[in-house]
Amino acid sequence: MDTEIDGAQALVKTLEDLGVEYIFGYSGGAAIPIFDALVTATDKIQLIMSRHEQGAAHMADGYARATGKPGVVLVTSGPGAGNTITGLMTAHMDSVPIIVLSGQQIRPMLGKDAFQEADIFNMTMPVTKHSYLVMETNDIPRITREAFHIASTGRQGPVLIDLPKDVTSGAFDGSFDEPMRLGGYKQLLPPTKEDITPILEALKVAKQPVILAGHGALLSGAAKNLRQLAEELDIPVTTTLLGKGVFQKLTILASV
Amino acid sequence: MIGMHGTAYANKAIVDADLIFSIGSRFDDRIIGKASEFGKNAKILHLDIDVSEFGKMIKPDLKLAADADAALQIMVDLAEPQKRVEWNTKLDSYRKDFPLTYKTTGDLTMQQVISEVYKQTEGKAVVSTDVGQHQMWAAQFYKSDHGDNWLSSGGAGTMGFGFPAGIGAQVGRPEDTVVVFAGDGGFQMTMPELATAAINKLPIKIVVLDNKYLGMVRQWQEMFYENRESGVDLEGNPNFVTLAESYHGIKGFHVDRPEDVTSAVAQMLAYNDGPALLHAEVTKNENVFPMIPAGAPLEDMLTEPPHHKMDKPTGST
Repeated sequence: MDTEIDGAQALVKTLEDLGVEYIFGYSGGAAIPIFDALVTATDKIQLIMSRHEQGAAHMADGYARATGKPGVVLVTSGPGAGNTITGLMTAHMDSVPIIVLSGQQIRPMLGKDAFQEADIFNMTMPVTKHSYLVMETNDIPRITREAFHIASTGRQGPVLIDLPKDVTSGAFDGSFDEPMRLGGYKQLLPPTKEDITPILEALKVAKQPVILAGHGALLSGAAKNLRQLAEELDIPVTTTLLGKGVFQKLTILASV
Repeated sequence: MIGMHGTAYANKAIVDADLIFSIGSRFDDRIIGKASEFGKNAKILHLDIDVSEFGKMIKPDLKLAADADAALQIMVDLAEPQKRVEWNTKLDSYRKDFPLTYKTTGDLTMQQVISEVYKQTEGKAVVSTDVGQHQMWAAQFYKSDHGDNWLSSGGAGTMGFGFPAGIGAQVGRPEDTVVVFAGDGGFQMTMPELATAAINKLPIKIVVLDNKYLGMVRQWQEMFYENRESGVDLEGNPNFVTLAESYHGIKGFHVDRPEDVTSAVAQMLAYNDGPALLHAEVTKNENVFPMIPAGAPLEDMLTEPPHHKMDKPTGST
């Protein structure tokens, strides 16, 4: 690159490359470099400014549920990040992919009870699928791509990326193509005919079977195949609260 | 829908079933009631992407860790057609004998407002709910015809979710009608986002179902705590119409009588220059039925107010 860019601009460029169109956020000191990069480094990403960080987190959640794309939140450190905890928990409980980008105090100040410092990484540990505290500017593109991958694959869920202000305002001279380091993140192997046969056998001999379709059926995009199977085997389908609507209105079966 | 506030006929189907095949459901406690009683006469099959869900609530007889659609695709390819006339006829009769109902005479109810919105949007709106009684009635009476159109905080049950989630949905789907159903309690938790909706000129429809109570908790106090109300009285609610219209670009509408619902909903749906808020003042005296007390087996489902004193639930909150 000819022109110098900082970590925040590298972050925004990566978000743009990942197809992000909207960021739901609320600004603050620790996040200023990133808000600045929204002006200098992109004209494709639109900031939707909320009036409370909890609102921003729920907006990103609703966006993700309605579009299938991860929702992105941008907040500042301390109370800003803290205000997203309920939103993270909400997304976590329902397996919804959101990415919370939180500004953080500068690295030398971490652990010194600095202004608007909060150990958000640990505060959100039980309500995130994964979390990052970025300590090197050049790690930003790789970590961002990893976060999106983790949030939107397997059992989907929220990921937090905590970004110290000196990391985002530091000069970026790394690569945008550094490979992800997710060796420990195992995806399930695709199911085989051998896996399926016992299930089909059990369904065949059952006299009064019911299919219970949950949010997972919806998140998997299984509506069409589910309907087809239920019709083939003449099995009534019911749903959980979040599975509602995955089984589009039927007139043929006595769908419950 | 089954579970604590599921339909009677769906819960009966589960009780009678000899096989329950969960596809992407984690057997949440609101769905299964008392775990040791759930499907006790049924073979349990569990298909889930997350192995940690197997046996967390219910021990499956057969489990498959896989992406639901990938597994179903193979099943569809291999399955041989079958007919189960007797079973489906039985369930059909349950549906006829135990329909969901609500009163249409007397005071305005949430169920009536929700049903009218469902009718006028033909079930095609993106619906975002908050948490509480209205959430359960929205689930029962707004029969979404598409999975991506139903946004509700299920696992966490987060009040304040509905309105901002609806904003996010409208941002992501600008061409679609987005309707938020929120109680007066939950709406007040995140209503500052009226500014966000207004400045972005989102044509979002916000239905504030106002019974001036934290209704679901009040219902529990009525049923399990001898009607001793504590911490549920939402006195001091603002005038939601003037509040909404104090934001430039938001139009407010009001309804408090059954005969006015059709026109009020139509007016709300017709305003697209910005957010539209319909303040529906409804009766406090409504409880969500069916109801399975927390931690009770599905067989203990109540389809109408109990005539005897109920023990406090202990199996869950």
